[in-house]
Amino acid sequence: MPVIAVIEKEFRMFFRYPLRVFSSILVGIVFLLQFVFFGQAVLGGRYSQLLASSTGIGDYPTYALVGYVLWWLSVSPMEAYVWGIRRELQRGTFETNIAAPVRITELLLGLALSWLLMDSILMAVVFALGAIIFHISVTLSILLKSLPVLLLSFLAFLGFGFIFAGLVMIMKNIGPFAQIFEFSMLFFSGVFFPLNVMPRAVVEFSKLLPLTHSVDAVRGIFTGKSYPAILPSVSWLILLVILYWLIGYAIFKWADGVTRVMGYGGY
Amino acid sequence: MGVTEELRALYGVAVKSWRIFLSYRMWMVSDIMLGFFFVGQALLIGIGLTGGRNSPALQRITGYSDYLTFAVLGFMVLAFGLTFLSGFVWSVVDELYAGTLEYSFASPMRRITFFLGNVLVRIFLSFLYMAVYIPLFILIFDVHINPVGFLRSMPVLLIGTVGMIGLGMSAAGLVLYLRDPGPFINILEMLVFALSGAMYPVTILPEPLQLLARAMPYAPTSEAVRKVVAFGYSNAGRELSYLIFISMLYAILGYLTYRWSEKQARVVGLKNY
Repeated sequence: MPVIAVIEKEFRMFFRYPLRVFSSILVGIVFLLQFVFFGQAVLGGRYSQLLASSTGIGDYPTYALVGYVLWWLSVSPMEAYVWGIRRELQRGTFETNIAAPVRITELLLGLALSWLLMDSILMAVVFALGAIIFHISVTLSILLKSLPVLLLSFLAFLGFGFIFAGLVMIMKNIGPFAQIFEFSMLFFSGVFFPLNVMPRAVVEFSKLLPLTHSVDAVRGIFTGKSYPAILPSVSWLILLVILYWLIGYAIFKWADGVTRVMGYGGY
Repeated sequence: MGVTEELRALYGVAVKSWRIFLSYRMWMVSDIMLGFFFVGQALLIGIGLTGGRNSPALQRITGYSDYLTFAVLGFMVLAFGLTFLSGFVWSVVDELYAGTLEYSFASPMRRITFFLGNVLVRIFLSFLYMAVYIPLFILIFDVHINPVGFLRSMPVLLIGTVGMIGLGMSAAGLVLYLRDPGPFINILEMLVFALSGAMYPVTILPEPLQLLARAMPYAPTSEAVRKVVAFGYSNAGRELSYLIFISMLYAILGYLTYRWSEKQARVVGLKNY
C-alpha cells in the first residue's frame, strides 16, 4: 500500500529527531498559553459569564484548548501539501516520486494523512498538558463521544487542504499565503473568542469553514450536549466534506494538467 | 580591513539580505498581517470575555486598564526584540543550509560586520512595520498611544536592545555547533515568545517561569517600556536599574560565548549540509 509506505516514511523522518518533536510540542503549548494567559489576565480569573451566555462554555481555558487543538489539526493537511511538497521539490525528489508506478493522489493523500496523524499525536500531548496546566477535567466518555466528530472533521480538513495540493504545484512558494490563510482560519472560526463579537457577514462566512462546525460540535460535547443537539454542526460538516473534496480534486486536476505541460520543476 | 572597507562590506551584506527578502514579497505581507492578527485577536478576546475595552483586573496588576494598548506595546517590544535574536541566528543558519557560511566567514570582513549586515535589514523592516502598524492600529483598533510617552520609551528600548543583541550573539555561537539547529531556534524563539510578557504580565506566570522570564532581557524591557510610557521615568527607577543590569550581563555573555564558540569552530570546522 503506497499510502502506508508514505506514512511510514514521514513518521520515520519526523520522529528520528527527538529535539524536533520536543520543539513542535513546545511551539504548540506556547502558542496556546499566550492566548489563555492573556484571557485570564484580562478577566482576572478563568470564568466569563459573557462567554458562557454566548457559547455555553464559560471556562475560558477549556474553550480555548478545544478550539486551539482543532485549529492545529485543521491546518495540518494544508501544511503537509505546502511544506511537504515544497520540501520534496527543494530536494529534487518530487519528480522521481511522481515517476513511480503509484498514483499521485495516493502519494499526496499519504502525505496529508501522515502529517495529520503526527499532528494528532503532538496535539494529544498538548491537550493533555493544557488540561493539566489549567486543571481542565476531561472524562473518558467525553473523549470517546468526540471521536466520531473528530473523524468527520479530519475528512473535512483533508478535503479542504487538498485545494492547496494543486496550488503548491503551480505557485511553489505559497508558504506566506498559507500562513495568512491559517491565521485567518483562527480568526474566523471562533477559536479564541466567540464569533458573536464579529459582524454578521463574517459570522455567515465562517460557516463555510469546516473548523467552525468542528469546534462547535466538540465544545458542545464538552458541555454535555447529546448528538442530536449537535446535529446542525455535524450536518454542516458532512456537507463541507463533500464540497471541499470536490473543489479540492477539481483544482488539483487542473493544476496537475498545467504542471504536466510546464513541468514540476524544482528549486 | 579599514573602516571604509568594513562599511562597504556591511552595505554589501545588507543589500544581499534585502534582495533575498524582496524576492519573496509575500513574506512581507504575511509578516504585516501577523501584527494585525496578534492585535486583532487580543481585542476580540477582550471583548468576547469582558464585553468592553477596559479590564479592571489588568489594571490592578499592571496599571493598564486598556488591555489593547498593553498588548500593542508588548507586541512592539517583542517584534523589535526578536529582530536581533532571529537576525543573528538565521543569518548563520540560512547560510549553513545554503552551504555558503564558510565562504562568508573566509572573507576578509569581521564577523560582526556579517551579522550586523543581516540584522540591519531586519531592524529596517521592524521600523517599517511599526510605521505601518502604529497609524493603522490607532485608526482601526482605536489604540491609545501617547506620542510623547511612546517617544519617551525609545531610550528604554535601546537599553533593552543591548541585552537582546547579547542574547542573539550567544545563540548564534551555539548554532555554529548544532548539527540540526532548526529545533533549537524554535525552542529559543518560543521561550522568548512565552516569557516576553508581550501579551500578559509575567506576574501571572508560575514562580519558576517568572524567574526565567526575568532572567532574559525581553520581559524586563516590556515592563520598563510600559512603566515609562504610563508613569514616566521617575516612577520606573526599579525597572530601569534591573534592565540596565540584565542588558550589560547579556552583552558580556554574548560577546564571550560567541568568541569561544568561534574559536571552537576554527578547530572542529564549520558545518555544511
